[in-house]
Amino acid sequence: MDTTILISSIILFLPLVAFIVQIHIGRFFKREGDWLPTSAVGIGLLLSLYLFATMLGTHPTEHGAGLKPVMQEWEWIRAGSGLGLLDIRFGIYVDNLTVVMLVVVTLVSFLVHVYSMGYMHGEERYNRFFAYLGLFTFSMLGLVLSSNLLFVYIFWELVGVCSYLLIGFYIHKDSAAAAAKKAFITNRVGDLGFLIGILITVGVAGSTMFSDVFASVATGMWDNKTIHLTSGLSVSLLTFAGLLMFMGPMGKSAQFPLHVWLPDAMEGPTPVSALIHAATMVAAGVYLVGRMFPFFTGPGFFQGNFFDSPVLLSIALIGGFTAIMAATIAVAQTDIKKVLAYSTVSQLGFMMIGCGVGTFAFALFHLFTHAFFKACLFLGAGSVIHAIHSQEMCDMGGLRKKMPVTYWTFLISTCAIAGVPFLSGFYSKEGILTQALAYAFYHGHSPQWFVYALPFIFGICAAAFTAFYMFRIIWLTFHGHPRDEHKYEHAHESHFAMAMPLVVLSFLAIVSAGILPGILTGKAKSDAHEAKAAHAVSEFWFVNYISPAALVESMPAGYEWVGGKLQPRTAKEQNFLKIQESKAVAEMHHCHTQAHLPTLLASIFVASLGIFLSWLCFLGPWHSKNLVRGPLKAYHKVLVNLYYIDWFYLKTVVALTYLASKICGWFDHTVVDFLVNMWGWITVRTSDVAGKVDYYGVDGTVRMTGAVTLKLGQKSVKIQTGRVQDYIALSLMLVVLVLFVFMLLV
Amino acid sequence: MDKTTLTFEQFQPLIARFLADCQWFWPELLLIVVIALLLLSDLFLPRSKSRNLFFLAMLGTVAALLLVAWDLFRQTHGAVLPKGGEYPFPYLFQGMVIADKFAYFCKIVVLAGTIGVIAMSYKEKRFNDYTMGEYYTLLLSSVLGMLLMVSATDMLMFYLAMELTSIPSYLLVGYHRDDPKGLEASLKYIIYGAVASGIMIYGLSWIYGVTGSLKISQISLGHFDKLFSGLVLLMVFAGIAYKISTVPMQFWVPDVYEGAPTPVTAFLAVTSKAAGFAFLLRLVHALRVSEALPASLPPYIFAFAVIAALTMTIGNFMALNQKNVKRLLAFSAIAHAGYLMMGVCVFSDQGQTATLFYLAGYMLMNLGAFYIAMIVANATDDDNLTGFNGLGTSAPFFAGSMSIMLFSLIGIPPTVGFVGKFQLIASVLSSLQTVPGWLRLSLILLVLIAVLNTVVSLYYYARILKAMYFEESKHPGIAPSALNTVTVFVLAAGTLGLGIFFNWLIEGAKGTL
Amino acid sequence: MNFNWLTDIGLTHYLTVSVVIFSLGIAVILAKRNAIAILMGIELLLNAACLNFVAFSHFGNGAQSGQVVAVFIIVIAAAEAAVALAIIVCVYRMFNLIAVDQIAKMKE
Repeated sequence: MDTTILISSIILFLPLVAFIVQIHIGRFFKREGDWLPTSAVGIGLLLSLYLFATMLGTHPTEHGAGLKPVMQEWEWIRAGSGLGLLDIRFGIYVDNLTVVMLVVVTLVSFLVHVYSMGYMHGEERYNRFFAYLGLFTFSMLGLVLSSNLLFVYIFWELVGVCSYLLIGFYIHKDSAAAAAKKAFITNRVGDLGFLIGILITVGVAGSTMFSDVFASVATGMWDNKTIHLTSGLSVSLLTFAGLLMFMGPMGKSAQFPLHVWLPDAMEGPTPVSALIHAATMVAAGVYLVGRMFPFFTGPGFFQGNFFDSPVLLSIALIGGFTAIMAATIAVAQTDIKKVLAYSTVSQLGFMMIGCGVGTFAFALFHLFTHAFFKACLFLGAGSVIHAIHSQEMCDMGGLRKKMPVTYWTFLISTCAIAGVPFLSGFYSKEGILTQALAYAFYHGHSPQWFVYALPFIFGICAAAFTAFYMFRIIWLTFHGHPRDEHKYEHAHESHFAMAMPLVVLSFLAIVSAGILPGILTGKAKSDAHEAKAAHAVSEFWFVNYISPAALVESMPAGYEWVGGKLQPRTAKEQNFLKIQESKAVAEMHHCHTQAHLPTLLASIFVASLGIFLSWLCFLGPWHSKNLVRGPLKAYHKVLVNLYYIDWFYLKTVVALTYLASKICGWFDHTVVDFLVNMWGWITVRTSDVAGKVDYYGVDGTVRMTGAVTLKLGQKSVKIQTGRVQDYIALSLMLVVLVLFVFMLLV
Repeated sequence: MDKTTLTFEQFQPLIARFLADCQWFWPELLLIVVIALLLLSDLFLPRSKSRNLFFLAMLGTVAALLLVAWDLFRQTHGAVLPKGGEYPFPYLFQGMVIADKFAYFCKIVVLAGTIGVIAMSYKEKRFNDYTMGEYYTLLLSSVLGMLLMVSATDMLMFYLAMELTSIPSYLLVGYHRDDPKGLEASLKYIIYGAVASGIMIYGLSWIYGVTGSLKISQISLGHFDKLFSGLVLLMVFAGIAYKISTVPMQFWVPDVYEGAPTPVTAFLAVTSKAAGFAFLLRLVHALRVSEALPASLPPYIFAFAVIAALTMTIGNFMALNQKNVKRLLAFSAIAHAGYLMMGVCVFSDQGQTATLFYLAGYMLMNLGAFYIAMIVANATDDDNLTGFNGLGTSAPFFAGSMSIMLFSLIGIPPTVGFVGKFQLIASVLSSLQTVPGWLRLSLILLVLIAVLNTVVSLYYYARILKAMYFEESKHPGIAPSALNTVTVFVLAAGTLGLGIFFNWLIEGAKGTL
Repeated sequence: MNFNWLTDIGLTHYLTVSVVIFSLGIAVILAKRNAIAILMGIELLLNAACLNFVAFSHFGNGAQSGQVVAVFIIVIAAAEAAVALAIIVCVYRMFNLIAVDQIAKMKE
């Protein structure tokens, strides 16, 4: 087996083993076994970093930089033959994108494990928490390592299960249980679309393996396939499947309208929010869009045109709308975790914008950087909550002096998310917004140019709001006067286990874009040269490794059955999925260059505007103006009620479901149970009859035989009269009888 | 004076041959000596000491048995065989008696049975008031008669042997002079037996008449009228049937078995039956081989099959309601005679083997059953089934051995009774190929009747088991005795052992063909 | 008229007589209640056989062994009779009667 695959397998299965051991006997270990999953993930982290270093160390080639993708498949189910062949294989696929995701997942998971050792200390079911964390890590790793859609789906669901377990961890809180349910069900709705999309793909492409799906798109198996929704309205099957498949990420990454679970998911412990709902699980949707980018783009992908796909436009619009909507809601929240939750939704929307406008590389880059600073924000919030014992910002204020580490790390991460230059978040957001504007320019000649401009508009507005509400948190929590003196007295800095991850994450928030260290070490220039020489897309190290070319070219062609064993398929050509040179890329490059400066200016402007306005409102002169109660009262009410979306779902979907379940219950109770009882009654009667037949009939026969025999015996023995002459007479008669019988026969 | 005068020269070889033949007659000669000794010592010993004649009798029987074994050994390992005369060895005494393996087999069975009976006699409580010298004399005389009967090849010899067997047994049955039942049994026995033997000798006279010779091997009725031949053979069979207690002459069995002292009952049931069957087998074999029958075999097979079926059924059904243990065992003896008849009725080699095997096994199990019945009757003074009550708890060893005997009588593996019945049924079934269609059906029916009869017999045997294990005992326990324990143990072990390791006996029985 | 069949005594005559005696013997055994009478009947049976043997031995063309058998039969008959009478005496001592149908305590 290839070393990379071996390492990946170890990374994947260590947390699973940790889970199995922890869930059963973790209780009996020292410290309830929290060290077990932590060390498992720690080892995974080290191995992932090793792979990452290998990736960085590889010189860039013509097709991009990084690892040559490797894939290994194992047979799981093989049944039937010919047309009815069911051939399901489990495969591991490792390329650049996988390695990056591995690092993100293991790093954040490890830090959260360490953080939890402090935060969850003394909690009941402490050992279970770690077990669930281990299971979650396993599921997430499996998701990013899978080589086919079926197993992505399996791990997708598994991640959902872990989310349910972890959100509902405080089993005695009704609200936590309800939130867990809501999360799972909302996810399920999205997964339904995802599954149908997968099934359509299987139907056309014949397999769920990425290489097979991409090959089907490249070789035109989806051409001329349309689906007629109603008379006169028909869409291409690929578009339809793409939209359905996007419903999965919509659910998992909390896009409108399936975003309603994420804020409620804050009922779970803060480390859970940090791990799952900031950094990893919600990123699974973005990962999927990134991985399946050729599929969503359509046949245009292989002609180099990433910018004309209806599916991608829809993704961008949905993402944009989500971003702005969530950002506005976040402004009105008073619970610190809720603000962060909506912030996550908003940032996910951003990532979707990025995917939709054609630069899934920057979307994933944003995912990468967002993981770090959002996790840091959540853990910092957790630190504050731990100190204050309250989640409401009304109880906070002026904690800057009391909790310096928390304050500074939180500040750094907030700057990163708000788009302060030189921090990682700035670069990733920049990349997305630039591409969004370039996209608008690219389609400038089209009659619906406004629609194409929407992603950028939404993005820029959302960026403004982001800066506004994030700094709001800073002002309200760490600056100003303490609103609750009592709580303020008891506040203290968290101890090492909780502080250390904060520091690490904020450090990563600064350097993960790679620019700052590059500038500091002077490598940036030479790298940029090399990159240009290698036709690299950009000077960002990340984007070099995750380009469309890197995604599909050098993709192994998979395996096929030869003589009862799985053999690697020989690709027909050297690179059987090849992106052709096209005008579209050049044109987009041109638009991109045009859009660079306006975006830079715009983003810096909106970020500063946001920070300034929030200072004004919450710390400065407008602070006392009580805008909320006055002119903005109506808007505020709408925002507080979350645009009444949740209320809407409750009244329609939930109510309908209850009604349907009532009807089914009635049916079951009256009709089905009646049938069952009747059947039971019939059986009892039948067995009664059978019993009687057995007792009187069968047993009667037996007893009768016995009685007859005995009677015969009694009667026959009367021959022995006791008189010898009778005996002699009888004997002679019998002799004659025998003679008679004999003579008859002779 | 006719021309056939015998000169001395003609005598000489005859005498030489006679003396040589005596060399092969040691068991019988020994028995004669022992009988004489017993009779004499009975004159001199007082009544109280006469019980000890048991030892002499036992010694004599054991010695006879050993002599039989030695004779067999000698014969097969190259001894000097008598020569000369019309009738070659193994015929002895000018064709009267034959000393072949068949005879030796049956002699061993008879003598082994007698050893058991003598052991029983020692222990029978009711003999305490009588002189035992006459008893042992009569017993051994009867045994002598049986030894001659199994080796008889001459009709006269057979008749004499049979009478020598029967007449002492008439007296033995009535040995308890103070027991009304015994005397009644004895009276019935002698009347019935005399009538039977009278019919038999009449039949034999006719056979002699038409055949011109008394030798069994010379019987040929092939050219005579079927009715006549059938009647005559039937008359002869009537006599034999009386001895082996099958239909039509089984009516004496219940009363005689019930009234006689238990050792005598055992003796009649075991050895007398064996001797009778031995001669019947010889007769059947001779008739089959020499084509002496007026018709082909099937009607005879059918007739015998009918007899076998009737015997089994009558024996089993009449036993169902019996309360007296000895009467119950008497009917069981009739039933077993029916099973044995099955083996004879097929007129085949396999049938003969099966019958011989079953006779040997039957000797063991029946002797055991009667022995334990005697022990129980001695201890509890109760001849009925109620005497067995609670034996399971008061005398577990005897109860266990009795159970083994009963299982064997029923035919449950792994006892010799099962193996024997299996062999008998197998011999009937394997003869199915060689018989015509209508007879096949009858034989299958016969097997079916045999199996059903086994089921019926389970009932009355189980009543003893029930009494032993499921009833309370009101009587005291059984006094321990070495002889009882050893003998019963040997019998029980034999019943079980033969049930498992039976091949050697089957081979032995086959070797007698 | 040919009365040869009366005057020429041949085998048949002997055989007929023996048959008659045999039948009479059976009849006596079945009809008489007195044990000794039954004994007499038994003797008749044996005599019939005896007659048969002698007749055959004389008229048949074979060995003379029939007459030897006759002697043996007489011996056996005597022995049997002696034993039977001994038993009857004992029975009489016990029951005070020798009516065979009344000495029937053991039945069924």
